[in-house]
Amino acid sequence: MEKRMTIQNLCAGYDGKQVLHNISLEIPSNKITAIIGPSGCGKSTLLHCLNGMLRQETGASVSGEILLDGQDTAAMQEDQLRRQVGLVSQTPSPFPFSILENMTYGPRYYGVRNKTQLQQIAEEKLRLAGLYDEVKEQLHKSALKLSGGQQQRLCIARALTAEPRVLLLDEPCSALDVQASAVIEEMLTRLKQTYTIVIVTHNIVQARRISDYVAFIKDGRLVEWGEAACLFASPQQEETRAFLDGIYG
Amino acid sequence: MKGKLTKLWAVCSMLIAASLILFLFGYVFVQGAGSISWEFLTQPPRGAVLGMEGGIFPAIVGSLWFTATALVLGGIPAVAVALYLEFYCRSKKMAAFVRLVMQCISGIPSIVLGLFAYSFLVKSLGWGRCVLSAGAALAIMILPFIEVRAEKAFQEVPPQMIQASYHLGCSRFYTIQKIVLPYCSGELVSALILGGCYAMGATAPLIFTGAVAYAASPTSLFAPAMALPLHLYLLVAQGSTSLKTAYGTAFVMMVLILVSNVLATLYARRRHKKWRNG
Ligand SMILES: Nc1ncnc2c1ncn2[C@@H]1O[C@H](COP(=O)(O)OP(=O)(O)OP(=O)(O)O)[C@@H](O)[C@H]1O
Ligand SMILES: [Mg+2]
Repeated sequence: MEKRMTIQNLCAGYDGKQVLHNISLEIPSNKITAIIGPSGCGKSTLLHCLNGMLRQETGASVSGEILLDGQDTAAMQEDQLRRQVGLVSQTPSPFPFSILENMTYGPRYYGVRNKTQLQQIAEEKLRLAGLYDEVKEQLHKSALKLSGGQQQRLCIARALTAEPRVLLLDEPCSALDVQASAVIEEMLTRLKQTYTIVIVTHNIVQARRISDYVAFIKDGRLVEWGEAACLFASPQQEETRAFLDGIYG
Repeated sequence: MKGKLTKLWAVCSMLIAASLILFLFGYVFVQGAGSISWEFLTQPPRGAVLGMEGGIFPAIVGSLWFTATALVLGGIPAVAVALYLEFYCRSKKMAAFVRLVMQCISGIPSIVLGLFAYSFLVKSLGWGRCVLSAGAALAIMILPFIEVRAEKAFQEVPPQMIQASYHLGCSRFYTIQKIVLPYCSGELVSALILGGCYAMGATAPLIFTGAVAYAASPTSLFAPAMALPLHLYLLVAQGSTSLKTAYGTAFVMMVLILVSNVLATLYARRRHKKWRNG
């Protein structure tokens, strides 16, 4: 197993209140790692640690070590780190521009000026996100006019324009119906050939379907993590078993 | 019963307020409209008692100069302070301190600002009575006024949108330039225009610092100039002979302020359409 990220003794909190306790975890390359756990256990906080956003927040504290391909992320430049570790947040948030402008927002900042090149990037990433065929006729339409599922896929495609090594997804399907979720799941399975994916999800069935590795977090502590097949079939910890059973009914 | 009474009370207050405003505007317009003519708008004041005859052209131009100077000197720092507080300042203490300073400035009586600008800019720095000195006094006056509104506008930008930009690895500067400023440009323009109207209507900061009873239209920041509110004050002070032109002057001021407000509202609405409803 090749490791893309290594998290060691990570602690994090807001305004003196500790949220994450001593988390050590590895994120394997080109796999989907699912993070599951009850609401408020610190899943989003963990993602914000991984892309360095939490360090920027007023009042937040982070300690411990996070390595990206062996490099200490604390020593990396913040915007470089955020580019390497893309994050798509819980609520889809397309910019109120056209679809094309959403896709070129990042590349323009990274210094791409050439129109054809911008168009190419947009097309390639939209294809990866499985959105291109649906929107190719209307790239100049406002992104706000897309459906919820399309908006979410647009945001994922937009995150890909940064050419991240790791893609963090915070409950990408929480507001979507079964069909729209299925489209995203299928896309993620395709994307893992190129990217390393970490997905936070409330949906255990979904985690089962798409993840290769699973981490279960409860009250800010990592209870258990490992290969998805093993963990779902025979959880080692009582708490994990209870959580999985609870969800199954 | 109680609910009905409250509603009645609310409706009555609204009616009273609305009719007062309408009456005020109507009164000024009716009284002032008579003296409005091409000559009034384009000629300098004349007459045995100055301003009894002729026009107010230099006062209109002067007021525009004062206002523009105040907007440049006050508006830019106001927006910068608001940006700093919203996007750069990490320390809550520092933010609280800056807000306190803003509050204190907005509490300074405008005549004191005038006095300060007179003794410091006009006398100590030797700028003399000119558009720049008076514009600086006005700028201090409208700085907190614009800052508060700009900050409120920035707070309305959906945080997810700003976060999304950061998540793409974009800098704060790029985010502000591409997302924040376009998103609230409508509110910002309204804030600036309201601030400009506030400056245009103020007399006290101008009296000792740059506005004079008579001058030609200014051609540089270092020349004194006439101003509409001061001209109005002098006309009224001269007594009933120039009352007619005083109303004319008030009319012009009200029209300028109304028109700029309407333009600001229209602009803000157009921006909203583009940026908030897709
Ligand atoms: N910006 C913040 N300031 C202060 N406390 C916060 C902040 N964000 C989150 N918290 C706290 O941190 C804890 C973990 O929050 P987090 O958002 O990471 O949970 P989560 O596992 O993502 O929950 P959910 O599944 O509901 O999204 C919560 O108790 C929350 O109250
Ligand atoms: Mg969350």
